[in-house]
Amino acid sequence: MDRKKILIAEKDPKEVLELRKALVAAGYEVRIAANGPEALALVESFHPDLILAEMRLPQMDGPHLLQEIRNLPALQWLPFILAGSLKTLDERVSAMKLAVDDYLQKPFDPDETVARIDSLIREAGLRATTPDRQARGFGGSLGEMSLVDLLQTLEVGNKTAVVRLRHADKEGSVFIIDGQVVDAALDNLETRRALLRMFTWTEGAFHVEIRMHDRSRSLTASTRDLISEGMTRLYRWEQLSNQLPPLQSVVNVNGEAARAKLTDEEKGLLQLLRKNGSKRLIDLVEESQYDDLRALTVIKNLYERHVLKVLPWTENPNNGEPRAVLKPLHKNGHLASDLINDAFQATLKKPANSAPRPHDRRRVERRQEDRRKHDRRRDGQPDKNRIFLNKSELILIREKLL
Amino acid sequence: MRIGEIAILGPNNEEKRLFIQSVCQKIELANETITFGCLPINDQLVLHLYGVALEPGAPQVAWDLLAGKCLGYILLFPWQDAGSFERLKPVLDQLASRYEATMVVAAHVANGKAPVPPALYENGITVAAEGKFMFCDVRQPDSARKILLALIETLLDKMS
Repeated sequence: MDRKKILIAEKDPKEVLELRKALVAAGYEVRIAANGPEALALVESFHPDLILAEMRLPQMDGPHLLQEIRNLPALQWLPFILAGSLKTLDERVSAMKLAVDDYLQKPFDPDETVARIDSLIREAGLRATTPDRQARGFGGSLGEMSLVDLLQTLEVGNKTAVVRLRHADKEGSVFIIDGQVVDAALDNLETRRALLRMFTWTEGAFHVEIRMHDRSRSLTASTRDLISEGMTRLYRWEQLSNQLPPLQSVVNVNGEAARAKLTDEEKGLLQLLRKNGSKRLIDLVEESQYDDLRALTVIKNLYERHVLKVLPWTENPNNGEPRAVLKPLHKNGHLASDLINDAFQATLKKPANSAPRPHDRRRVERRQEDRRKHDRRRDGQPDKNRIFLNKSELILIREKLL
Repeated sequence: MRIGEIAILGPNNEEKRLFIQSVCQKIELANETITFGCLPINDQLVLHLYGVALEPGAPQVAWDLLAGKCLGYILLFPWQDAGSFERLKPVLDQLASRYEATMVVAAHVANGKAPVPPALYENGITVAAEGKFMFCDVRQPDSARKILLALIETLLDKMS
């Protein structure tokens, strides 16, 4: 029988010498990586069955290594243990809230660690051979198929299922009965808010388990309404986030600018920064008492007025290097909405049947004046684009194209 | 014979040529300024598609003449090239602000892979009273025809 493989990511190999011996004695094959990027490279070449990573690794810390791993659909369920010497209970609970399978306190007790690893490897083996999991489900990347797409698919198929989503260091679930969303869970969020937040996840992985579950209906809205709301929110979320630095950026309060007049909402949000002084933008959204879109709007306003200041990478609390995990956000992040926004602005017109908004009045007046000037140049003849075919001819063309 | 004329404007001749070929199956004429194709609807009605170059250095098109002549416009640009959209913007401004021109802004995405939500890719968005922003793959006849269909439907809406 093949030996199971354990990858340990630890900056000081001496610290895991005893553990390594214990694991090898228990029948495991063990490799050690000294930093995050090395661990990532070994994941590809060594194909571990479990990863045990130190919280504070050089170059890419443990939580970010976890995030990188979880963003790979094929590895979304790979058992992952974080290890550290966190002193307070709060710190340990925070570590456990990440999408890890276990947290171990250092220094390691080799026997306890081997026992926990045995247990996780056994669970993973069971999961892989469970018929429900293996034959009656599917998984993939949220970049290719968002929660909206998944819910549409399951609604059409009238399926009963559990959708598990992983995004960065978060894991959430959506419960569906006969194609209708009945419940959702993410951290300690209220059901509806949990679902709405997961609608905004455009990166990460999903796994759909087509199976019965025991959740009852706690959402009153129909799935169709939820999907419609999800699409709107996703679009608005992308619009807002494209006007901000990557949401993983760490910000603090610019003292001088913060003395400017602030709304109650803005003050409430800045209060979150009082304790630690700096936070990731995404954490500000998630910890805020407001709806996610509202929170992001308030953050955008604060950022545009320079009340929030992005810390350079060297000041980030986690490490000093620009993290590989942020590359995808830079790569495609701003392209979609920026271009569409440009298209909106460039047309200088409103969608059909919508009244002009007050702040656009000047722009509309300028456009009308332009048109009048142009008409005068053309001896008063309006420059209307005429339709040279009649309605029945256009209908014929439509029939031909359908 | 009744003729409906549609202009396809864009910074990349190759994409316009592929678009016209996808819709009409055949290119009738192609030079540095115009790519031309015909789509017969019946023996009395035909659509003429003109691909007009917006390349730097290409002969300038007389917008005043074109704007009153065509049924509508398809503004085509490659989604992956933000610069190409910049070159298209003045034309878009002009058509939208000076003429009540019916148009569809079409972003070409090779193999249908766009970094946008699938729902947006499928349905596009309305960017003006007479215009939509949509995605397509110019190599796929169905996808190219979807853009033309959106233009015809906008014209029908306008007539109603």
